[in-house]
Amino acid sequence: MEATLRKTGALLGKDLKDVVKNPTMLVCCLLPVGFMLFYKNAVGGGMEGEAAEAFSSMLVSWSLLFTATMVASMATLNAIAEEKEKHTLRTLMLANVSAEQMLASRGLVTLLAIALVDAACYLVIGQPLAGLPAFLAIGVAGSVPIVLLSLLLGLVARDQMSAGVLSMPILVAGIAPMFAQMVDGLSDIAPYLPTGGMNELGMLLAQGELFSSDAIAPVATTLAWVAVAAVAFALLYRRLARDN
Amino acid sequence: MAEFASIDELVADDRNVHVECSRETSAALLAAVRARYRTQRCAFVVETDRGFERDSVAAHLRFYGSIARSSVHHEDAIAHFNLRGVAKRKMGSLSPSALALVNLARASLFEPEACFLERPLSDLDAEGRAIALSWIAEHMEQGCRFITTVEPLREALLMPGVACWHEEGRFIMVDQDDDGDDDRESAYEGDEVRVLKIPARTETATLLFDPRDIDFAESMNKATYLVVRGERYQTPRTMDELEAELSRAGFFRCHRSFLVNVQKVAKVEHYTRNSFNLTLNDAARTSIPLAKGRAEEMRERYRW
Repeated sequence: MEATLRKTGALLGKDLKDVVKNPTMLVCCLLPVGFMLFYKNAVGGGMEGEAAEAFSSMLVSWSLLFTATMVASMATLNAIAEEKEKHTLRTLMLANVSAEQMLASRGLVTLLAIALVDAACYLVIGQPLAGLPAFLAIGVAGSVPIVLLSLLLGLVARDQMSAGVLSMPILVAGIAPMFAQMVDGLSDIAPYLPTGGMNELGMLLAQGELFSSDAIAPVATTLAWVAVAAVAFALLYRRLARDN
Repeated sequence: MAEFASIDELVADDRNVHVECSRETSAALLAAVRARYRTQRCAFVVETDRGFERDSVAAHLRFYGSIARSSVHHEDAIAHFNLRGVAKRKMGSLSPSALALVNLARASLFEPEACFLERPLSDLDAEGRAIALSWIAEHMEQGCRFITTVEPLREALLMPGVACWHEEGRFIMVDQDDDGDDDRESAYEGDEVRVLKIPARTETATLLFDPRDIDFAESMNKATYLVVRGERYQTPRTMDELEAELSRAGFFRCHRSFLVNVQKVAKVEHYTRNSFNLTLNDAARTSIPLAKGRAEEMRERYRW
């Protein structure tokens, strides 16, 4: 147990530094904040009153979707693929580091990065600070399915090029709820997608209705996706945890 | 000829073994070593080890020190492997020679009971090779078992232990020639002029080499080669014939498989009481083995 904690702790330190040192990863973490700045000022700059409030609450849920998909796909899927491509994963495995330790570190670092980026987006959007803890809780819990699925796809990817292809379903499924009102038929499916519950909860938070009966269905959807992703992860990660 | 009949037999043996083999065989050996020493402290260095390119050498070794929970401080490893000059450099910008030493420094942090090294000397310059060989010899004496895969066989002979080459699933051992008890003719005496040229064959010609141009001769896989300015030429002469001809031209049989031009020797290195190498003054600073039984004879003959 002591060895597991020590190795996971060492990996956490390394992976955390890598979020800052890896330019691609850093850009992916800054992109959602940049998008929020752009949307708020370029699109929502001229809005006032109810329209501004509605747009702001939409940005709250969009920021959750952007952050979850971009950070998860980059900090897990692409990072694991890079470790395989550059053989650092092999060096770690030969140093008696287990797949569980490596995946735990990557998963925790990704959730931490998501929390930080979510917080920055929330501040940029300019929502009341009192809602920040609930926003972060929704952002982190709602991102768990995407992070677990990204970890699995990271194990499948052989290199960064294949990671780019494999990240497409994550990106499409992750941000699909954004387009629910624009595409016919998608609004019926969107609430049941992996990030659908998180999207709805974000809207409810911004409208001040998070603690109402309307939140039950999205919370249940989110928990169901967490459970599904956790079971899929537990069943598959050992089979997929192979170096090239 | 002594041999290990299979990978399992080689790994089950407790001696230090250095094998000239293909990458495929090396991978199979790695898997067998991992399986046998699963419950012991092990260190592995494989050819693909590059480290995290964005990390500095110091950060890389500090990280693996934490993973290994080593009593060897990463700064001590940096000092031991003469890496102070590159400690702040990024792993991705290291020269192959420095990277090879960083990989050995990483292995040293694990304080291994068993150590598998893939081509540990291939990328090293003369100084790096001396550091690496010294570390390997010291840890062997402390009881660490080394299994290394090398190319060419000469590198296997530089390290203490059993050198062998892989052929059709078997690992054939090279005679280590530690006794040095062959009957050798006395050195040439006399001052008459005699033509002395050593033939070597290429596809289209027979080359005749002046002994002064030959760095050393080595026998490998039942063939004899002359090494001239870093190039290798096969000669029809046997090692015994070459020794008889070349001893009067200043050549010395430093190992059963090697005949060295003593004028080209720049340094005699000894890492432990039983481990000697000769470093030549050629461009590659080539190291060749000096059998311990012949080291004393060489010292007496040349009064070093």
